[in-house]
Amino acid sequence: MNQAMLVAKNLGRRKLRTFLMLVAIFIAFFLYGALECFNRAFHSSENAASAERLVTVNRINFTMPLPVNYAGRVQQVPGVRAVTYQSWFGGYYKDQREPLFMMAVDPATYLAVYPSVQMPAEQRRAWLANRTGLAVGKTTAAKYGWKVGDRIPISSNVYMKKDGGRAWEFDVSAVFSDPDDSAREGLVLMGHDYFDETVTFGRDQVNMIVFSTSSTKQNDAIAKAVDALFANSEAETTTDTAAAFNRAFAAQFGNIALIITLVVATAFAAILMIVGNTMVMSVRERTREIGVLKTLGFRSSTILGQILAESLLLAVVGAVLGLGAADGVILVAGKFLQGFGSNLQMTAAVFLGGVGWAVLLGLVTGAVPAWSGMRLQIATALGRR
Amino acid sequence: MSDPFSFQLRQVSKRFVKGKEAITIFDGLDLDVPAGDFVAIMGPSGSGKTTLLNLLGGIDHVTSGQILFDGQRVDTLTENQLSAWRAANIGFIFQFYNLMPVLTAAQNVELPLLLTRLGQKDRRKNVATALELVGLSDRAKHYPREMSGGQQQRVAIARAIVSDPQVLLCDEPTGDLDRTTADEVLGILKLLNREHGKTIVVVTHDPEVTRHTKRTLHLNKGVFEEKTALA
Repeated sequence: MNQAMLVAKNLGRRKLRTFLMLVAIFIAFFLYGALECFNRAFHSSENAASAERLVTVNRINFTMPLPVNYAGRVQQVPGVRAVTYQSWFGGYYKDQREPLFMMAVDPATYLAVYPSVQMPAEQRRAWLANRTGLAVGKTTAAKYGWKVGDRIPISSNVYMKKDGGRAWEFDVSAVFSDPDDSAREGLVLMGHDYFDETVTFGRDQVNMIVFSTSSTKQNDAIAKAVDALFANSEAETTTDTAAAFNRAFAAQFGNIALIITLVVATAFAAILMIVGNTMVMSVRERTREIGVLKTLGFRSSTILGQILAESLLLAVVGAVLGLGAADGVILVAGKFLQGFGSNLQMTAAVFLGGVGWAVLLGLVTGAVPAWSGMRLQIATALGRR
Repeated sequence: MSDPFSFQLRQVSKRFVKGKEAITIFDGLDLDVPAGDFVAIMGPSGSGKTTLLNLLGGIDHVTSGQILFDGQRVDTLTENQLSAWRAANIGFIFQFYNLMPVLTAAQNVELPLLLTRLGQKDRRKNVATALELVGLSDRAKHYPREMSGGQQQRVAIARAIVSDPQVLLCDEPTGDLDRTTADEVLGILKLLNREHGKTIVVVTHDPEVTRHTKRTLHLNKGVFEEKTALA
């Protein structure tokens, strides 16, 4: 036997109580793990967005179109390096309930503005050359089992074809990766020319213009210059960094971070009270035993350490189980959530952050009973006074 | 050479403050407990028996006066020093055994050895010896709830002696036992005194205990009334 075993034995003395405390901690950390993973996935593209990229959208909102010729005019603004444009296609493959994150883009300029997008040279050539070619992010390709050379039908929730149909035939020309932004690997990119030729409305219009600049220091000035270019036009613009755009996009869904913080904080506060109170009761029940240990020669600091070790062990075990379960759920959810699914994962940062919170929880819930145990007078504990 | 006295109490006073009332338990108490003594301390409830045992074991503090162990003052030791001193020199036996319910008999006996530098092998050997001495080798893996009161008290004795302390302090060790079992327990204490030279102080209401001890002290209102001669 050793002191660690003594800690484990004490935790096992009331198995149901220990189990219920574990369940409470498990739930708190499951929520923390799952929500934090969603939060990070949601904001990952925001974080990955290059500061050198700016996004121009319709001033009313980004769902309103801009004339495609704006791109050429943006290119003329001093300090602008490369310009591309894209439109939301609203595509889906077979099941309308599983939308694709599909954009119509100009392949050549897209690759210039997003140099981190990587694909084999022959696939790149094929995509640039094939009007009906599709570049598929590797996550989506893996999800649907698409390979280069496949011919696949994709329908749109937004657009209709001129022939009255909703299904477009595409050739998978390339499968790409993006080491700088794994969320991008969930995208499906079609050629804007094919889009313009086939849709019944929205021709020569785009949802956003994205461009890189030669220096981030000039971004503010360049953004103002771009917006000034289209002031008092039929489609006024607003220009901001890609990060700010992504942040604004995420904000449409509410302040996710605040919601997560409130949910997790509420769960933690409840757990803190439940576990803390239970630990106090658990130690109070052992008052006499603590007195006996001290009588045998166990130091007060050893008693303090044992009680803290109990609460720490409980918190960390509960947290690891909760985070592990969250990892499992996230893994499954990631397969169903196109777009940021590839970023939806239990990262080391989330896991270690959770363990850190568990250590804090263990210390806080164990502090009061441990302090009481340490201060307990032997004669009082043994009822001998 | 060891001091001939295990304990020497000199002008020990002990006062409590309870609410607005100051209660004096001892006022200038003197006591000598020679090494190898087996002494019973008897007296009515409230006479100060348990307080005296607490003071001897360093689990309560004197208000004034001195307590010497082997000629060294222990009343001036810090809490940590007292813990180490108790672990090395004192074994406690309580009326209600005070075993850890979550530990087996062997694990209960092993508890004091966790404070020593002994390895697991030596600890197991000492535990086996202590349990053998109290006749409970076959109960090593039993939990307290699986044992009778007498067996639990014998486990408590094994726990008290496993680290080979010089002194055993016993608080009503037979108070919760039937006569036959009580005699068995007292027989073990007598054996520990005679064969192993342990100094034993027993606080008790049980007059039968005095048949086994070398002498008896009667405590009344914090004062020793009479002393029987060393046997």
